[in-house]
Amino acid sequence: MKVLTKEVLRINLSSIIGIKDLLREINQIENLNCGDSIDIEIDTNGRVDPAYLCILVAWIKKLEHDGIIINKEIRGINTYASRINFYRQINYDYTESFMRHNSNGRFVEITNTNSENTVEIVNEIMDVIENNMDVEESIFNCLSYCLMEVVDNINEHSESPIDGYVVVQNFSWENKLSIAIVDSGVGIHNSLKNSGKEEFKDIKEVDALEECLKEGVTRFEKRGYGLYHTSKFIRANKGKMQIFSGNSALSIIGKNTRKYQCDLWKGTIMYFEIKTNKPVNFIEVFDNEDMIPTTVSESRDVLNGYI
Amino acid sequence: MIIKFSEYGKSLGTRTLGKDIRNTVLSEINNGNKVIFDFEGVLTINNSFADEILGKLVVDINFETVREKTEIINANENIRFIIRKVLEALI
Repeated sequence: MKVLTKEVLRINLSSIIGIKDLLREINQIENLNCGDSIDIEIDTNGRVDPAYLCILVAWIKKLEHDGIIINKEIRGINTYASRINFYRQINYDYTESFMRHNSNGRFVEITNTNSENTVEIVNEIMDVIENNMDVEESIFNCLSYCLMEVVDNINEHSESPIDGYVVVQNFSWENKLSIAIVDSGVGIHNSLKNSGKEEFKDIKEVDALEECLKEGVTRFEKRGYGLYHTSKFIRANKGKMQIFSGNSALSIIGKNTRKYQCDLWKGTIMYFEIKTNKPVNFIEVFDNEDMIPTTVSESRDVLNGYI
Repeated sequence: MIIKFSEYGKSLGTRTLGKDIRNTVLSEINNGNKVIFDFEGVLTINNSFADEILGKLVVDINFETVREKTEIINANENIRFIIRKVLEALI
């Protein structure tokens, strides 16, 4: 049975403060079943955060995938929201009256990511970082590896029926670059619990989020390190990282880590905010580790001469 | 045949792309040709990608044949690290 606490869900994006707040808004509608219909009014007046738009796209896509009929109404057409493909992605008919300039190196529009275009998208993300931030080559390579792992996690682990959505925006006047990577899959907790690994069998949801930041934690062997090094980078950069999955969230702001409960997100939201004016050096991220991807370990004899 | 990985991007990953490349490599090897993996201009690859190309290639045709029929050039330390990890787990 459909339970609506409001007849029309109205989301005023300029009044949303943080992803947690946005999740509270969209969770006013719950228990929708295939064939149900809902009215959603999204107010895009004023400044809108690209991460919120990306999350809304994923949310709407998942509802539609589940057979929910959504009557979408937009208040306050916003050229920025249009330029990053928000209206296009939610199939809201709007004719742009502005010239589209190339996004290369400045932002990545809200884009559906899947196994076919992950490489292209990660390279676009790295172009934005390279274009706006002075990063040591080793750190840049590390970030490149980490982001590939994080985006590829959607293909490998999320089981998301809508694949994933990504958006990247550089805010030069604020010296920050934000990246949102969103899926509507099984979530981190289920992913770890179902991994078959004994140590994750009874793990609590909120602990699963913290666990996935640990070195080498992954559902499968031979993977991992993406979130571990990304979180170390964010700490060294004094940036911000948030993970929302299920009813749990984890935030890293500067050196501080906080776990908390939040409204439901069926899947995983990864949000990164990088300070583009805060250089990060190699030692801060790796502090003498030899894990990925820094040094070459001693090879086994049989590999000598080949790699 | 030379596979220039930079044509796909500076950061490479995904099993989908890895599988496409492996199929090309296998076809070349089956035709008696040698394949050179040229990583010039590539910064990183991820484990899935390396596993899909080289890991599964080793499983398919064994390491000795892979060693004989393929060569890796211009791979930086990051890439060599990933490939070693993948191969060490298999041989």
